Amino acid sequence: MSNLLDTLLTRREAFRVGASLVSAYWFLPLVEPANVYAQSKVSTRGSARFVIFVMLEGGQSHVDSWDLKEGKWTPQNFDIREIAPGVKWPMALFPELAKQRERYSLIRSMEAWDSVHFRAQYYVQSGHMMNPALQKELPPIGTVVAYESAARRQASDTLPGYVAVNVTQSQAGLLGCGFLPATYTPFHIDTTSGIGAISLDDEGRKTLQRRWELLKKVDERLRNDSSLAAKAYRDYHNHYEGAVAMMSDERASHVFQIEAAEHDRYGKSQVGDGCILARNLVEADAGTRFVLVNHRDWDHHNRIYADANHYKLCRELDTALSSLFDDLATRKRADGRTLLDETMVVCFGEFGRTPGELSAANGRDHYQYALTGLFAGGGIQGGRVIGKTDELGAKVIAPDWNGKRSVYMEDVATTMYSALGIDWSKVIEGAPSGRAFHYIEPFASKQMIKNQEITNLFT
Amino acid sequence: MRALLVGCALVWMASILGAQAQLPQDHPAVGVPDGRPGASELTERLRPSSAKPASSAIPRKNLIDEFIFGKMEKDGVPHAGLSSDEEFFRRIHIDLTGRLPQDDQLRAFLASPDPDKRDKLIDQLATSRAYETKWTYFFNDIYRPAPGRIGNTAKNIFYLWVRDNIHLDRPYNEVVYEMLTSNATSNWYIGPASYVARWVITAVACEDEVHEDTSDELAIHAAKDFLGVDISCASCHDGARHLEKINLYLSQRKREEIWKMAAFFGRTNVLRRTEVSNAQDEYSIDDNGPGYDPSARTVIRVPRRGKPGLLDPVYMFTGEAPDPAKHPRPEFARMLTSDPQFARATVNLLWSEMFGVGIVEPVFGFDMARLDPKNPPPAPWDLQPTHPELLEALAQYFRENNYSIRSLLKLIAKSNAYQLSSQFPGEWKASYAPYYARKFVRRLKAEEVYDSLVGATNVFTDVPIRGTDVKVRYAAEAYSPDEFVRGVNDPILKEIHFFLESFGQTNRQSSERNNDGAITQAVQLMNSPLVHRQIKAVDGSYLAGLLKQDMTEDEKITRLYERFLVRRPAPKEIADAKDIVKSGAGGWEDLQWVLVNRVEFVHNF
Repeated sequence: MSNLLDTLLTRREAFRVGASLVSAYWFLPLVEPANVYAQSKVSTRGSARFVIFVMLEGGQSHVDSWDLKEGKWTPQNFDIREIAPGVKWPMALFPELAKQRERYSLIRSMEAWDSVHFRAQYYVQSGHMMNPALQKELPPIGTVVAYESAARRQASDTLPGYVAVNVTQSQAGLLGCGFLPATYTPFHIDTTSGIGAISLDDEGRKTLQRRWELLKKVDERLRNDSSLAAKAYRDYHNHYEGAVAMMSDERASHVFQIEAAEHDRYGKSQVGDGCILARNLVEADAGTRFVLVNHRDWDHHNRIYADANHYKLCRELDTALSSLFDDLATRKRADGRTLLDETMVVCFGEFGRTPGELSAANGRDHYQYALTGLFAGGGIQGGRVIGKTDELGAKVIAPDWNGKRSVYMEDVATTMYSALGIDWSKVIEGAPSGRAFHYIEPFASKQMIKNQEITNLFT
Repeated sequence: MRALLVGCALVWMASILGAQAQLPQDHPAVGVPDGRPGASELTERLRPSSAKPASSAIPRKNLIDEFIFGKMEKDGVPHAGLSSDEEFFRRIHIDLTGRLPQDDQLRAFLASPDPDKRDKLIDQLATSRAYETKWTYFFNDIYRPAPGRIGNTAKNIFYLWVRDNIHLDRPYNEVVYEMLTSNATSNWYIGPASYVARWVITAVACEDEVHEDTSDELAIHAAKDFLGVDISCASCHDGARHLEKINLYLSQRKREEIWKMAAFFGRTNVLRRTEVSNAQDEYSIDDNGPGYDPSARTVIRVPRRGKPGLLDPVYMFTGEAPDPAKHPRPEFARMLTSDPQFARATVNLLWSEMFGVGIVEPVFGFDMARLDPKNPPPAPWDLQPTHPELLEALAQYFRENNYSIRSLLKLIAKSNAYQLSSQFPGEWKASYAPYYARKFVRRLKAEEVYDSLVGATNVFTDVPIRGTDVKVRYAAEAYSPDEFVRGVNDPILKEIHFFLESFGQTNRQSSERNNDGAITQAVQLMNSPLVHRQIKAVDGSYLAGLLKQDMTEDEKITRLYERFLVRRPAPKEIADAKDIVKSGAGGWEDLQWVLVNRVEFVHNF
C-alpha cells in the first residue's frame, strides 16, 4: 500500500550505491516516517538477531503432544515415558526432540484469544486481535521486524527482511505489509512450487544479467521517469531492482536450494523443507531476520489418531525441528557463537484442541483455553517446562512466569521484539485509517492485561 | 466451521478525492493506494503548468462528459488530451474484456477511417464472450462463492447462473432480487441460492443455535454488496464513540438498527443437509425459522444484549417496515432494489472498475450523510462523491435503462472523459485527480497479468474446472480461484496459482484482492519456470508461427510489439530489438522476455 511513507521514498537518487549489483532498493525506507514515538523507556534484551517461527496451522493437540494427558483415549502405541521428573513424553511421536531437551523449553500455560482458524492465525502472524477496522493496514510481526531491521542492513544484504514459507494457503492467508512500505512485505515461498524462480546457477545468473541490461535499456523511459504521474511505474521498477539484486547474489542460489540429502534428513516433508530454508536464511545472514514456516494440516477434527493425522504430523515436526536444532547448534559464526545462540526459535499452533474424550468424529476440536509452545535459542534457556494445566489439559492452573497469568500471543511477540532489540512500546501514528499503530497493544484484546516479555525463558 | 466476520469499511482517504484541498496538506489521511496518482503535496514543488487549458475542444459526447469537463472548465483544471487509437484500443480491451486483443485487429482498427470506429468497437466488445467472462469474474469477486463454504457443485451452478445473467444482460435489480429471495431444497440445484447459503454461520452443535449470526451476515453482505454501505462495524457496537472520524452516517447508527435489518432474515433458515459437516456442504434454504431474537447468543460478535423476544424488521435507510401480510425477505429485497442507493452503488462500482477510482471511494464505504449537495454535511466533513450530481445522473440513467449493466458500461466507455489519455502534458498534480483529468494508470490484476501472458504467447495450460468436464485456458474463466488450489497435485497448476497469488488474487475467503507491488512479482516475471515456459518458441506458440513466416526482421519485431504491447514500436525500439535477436532463436525469446517484463505490459493506462 503506497501511502504517506511511500511518497518519501521517491528520492532514490539520494541513495544510489554506485553502479554495483547491489541495489538501493533496500535502503529506501531508511527515511524515518513522521510520528514514530516510543511510549515508555523499555530496555530490550537484544539477545537474538533472528527469529524462526514454525506455525502449526490448524492447531496442534496439546494433550497428545507436549502437554501429554493420559486417559482412556490414549493410544497404546504412543510409547509414553517419563523423560524428566513430571514430564511424560510420547516417544513414538517425538523421539528426537526427547533427546534434545536441553536445547528448548516448553510453556504449557499458553492460551489463545480465539478459536476460529482465520482469526486465530491472524493473531499468530500479527500479534494483534483481528479488528475489521484495522485489518487491512496492520503490519504483521515479521514486517515490523523487517522494518526495524532496515537500519542494520549491510550494503551487501540482498535478501528480504521477512520471508514466509508455505503460509499462503492457510485460512488467514499470508498477511501483507499493511501500511508499512512494500519493501517489508513477506517474501513468500511455496516449497512445492515457488522455489525454482529464485535460485539460479551461474548460467542462470548470467542470463538474468544479460536480460536485465537489455530490459533497462529498452524500458528506460518509464523506469526512469521521476514525475508524479509515473509513480506507479517507478514503484514497480523498485521491486525489480530488489529482485535482481537478490537473484544475482550467489548466496541466493544456495539459500533457496533444497538438496535431496537434506530434504531426506529433515524428514521429507514440507515443514522439513521450510526449516532447511530457515536455516539457510539465518546462516547466510544476508538481510533476512524473520522467517515464518508454516506446518499445515493439524486441524484434526476427524480420526485424530489415524496414522495419517496426528502421528504423521508429529513425526514430521519432530524430525524437522530436531534437525534444525542440530544444525543451528553446531554451526558457528566467526566469533564462536552458534547460530542457535543468536536465533530464537518458536513453535506452536493458533490454539490447542479439546481435551479429554474424543469427539463423535474421533477427533479433537478447536480449544483456546490451553496450548503449549516450544521456545529455543536467542538467549532462551533450555530444559524447562514452564506452566501447568489441570489433569485433563483443559485449564491453566499454574502460569509459572513473571506475568502470573496465561501466556498470550502478545507476550510472545513482546518477547520476540525484545530479543531482537526492538522497542516494543513504539507507536506509529498516521496509519491510513487515522489511528495509531502500536507494535504491542498496551492492553490485550479481551481483557485489560498488560502485555509483557516472558523473562522466565531467559533467566 | 469458519465464521466470517466481514470487516467494517476501512474508510481511508475517504475525503481526499472530494476534498478539493480541504484537508490540511500534511494530514495523514492524504495518502492513496498503489497505482493511483500519489499524494504529492509533501514532495512536489509547484511549477507553472503547460497543460492544455481547461476549455479545449474535446467534444462532449454524453452526460458523463458534460459533468466531467464541465467541472474542470468551471474550476480551471487542465486535462489530458484524448487517447490515441493505440492507447484506446488496448485499454478498452482490458477494461471491458480483461484480455489483450489479437494483433490483426489492431491494424484494422488503426487503418479504419470510420469516425465512429471507437463506438462500434465498444458495441462489439460489450457482446463478446470475453466480456462475459470478465464481468462474471468481477461480480463473483463481490458475491464470493467459495467452494470451501458451499462445495464444488454449488460453486459451479452459481457460476453458470451469474454468467447467464451477464450474457443476457438481465436487469440487475431482478438479479439481486432473485439472489436475496432464493429458496431451495438444495443449493446444489438452485444457482442463486448459494449467495445466501455461502454466509451461513454454524456452531459446532447446530446452526439453529446461531441463527441470528447468519441473519446478521446476510443483512451486512446485502447492504455492502448492493448498497455499498458497510454496516458491519455497527453490528457489534453503536456508531457513537467509534465512527466519528470514519463515517458520519454510521457514527449516528445504533446496533439495534442493524438487528432490525437482520430481522428481515430472522425467519430464514440455512440448514446443512448432512449430519456431519465436510467440505462439500449442501444447504437447504427456507423461511420457516423462528425470527430474530436480539438476546440470542453469538459465536462471532460481541454478545447481544437486546430484549429477549422477536424483533420486527425495519429497513434502516428509509425506516420502512415490511408489509405484515408478506414474507419479510422478499420485502427486504424489494426495498433494497428500489432504494436509490442501489443504483448509485452499482454505477459507482462499475465506474470504479472502468476509471480506476470510484466517484465515491471506497466503493463499499458510502457515507449516506454526505451524498446530497442540497444537504451538505456539517464542517469539517465535505461531500463524499467527487461529482455528486454526476452520480445521481448515472443512477438515474441506470434505472431508466432497466438496470442494464451493459448499457451503463457502454455509456462510460463511449464518453470522452473515459477516453482521455493517461499522458498528461505538463506537470501533473495530485489535486487534478478528483477531476478525472487523465486516465489513471493501474497495475493489471493478477488474472489480467496471467491472461495477457498466455494470450500474447499463445501458449496455454488447460485448467480443469472441478466438478465438471470443462477445461479453461484463461485465469478469468475459472469458476473459482480454487481451481488452481484445492487438492491439486499438478505442479504446473501450482505454479500458476503461485503466480496469481504473487499478483494479489483474492481467494474469496480469507483474502482480499491486493494490487500492491512486491518483489515476488518481479521474481516471477523474470525467472519463474512458468514464464520461461511461456516465452519459448514451442510448436503452436505465437513466436514459433511468426518465425516461420516470410517477413523481414523489422516486420516480425513490429508484430511482436503489436502482440504484446498492442502498439507499434518506435524506430529506436526496432533497432534495439534487432540487436537482441541477432543471436538467433534464443534472441527472439530474449525479446519476448523483455516485452513481458516491460513496465507497460503489466499496467493499464
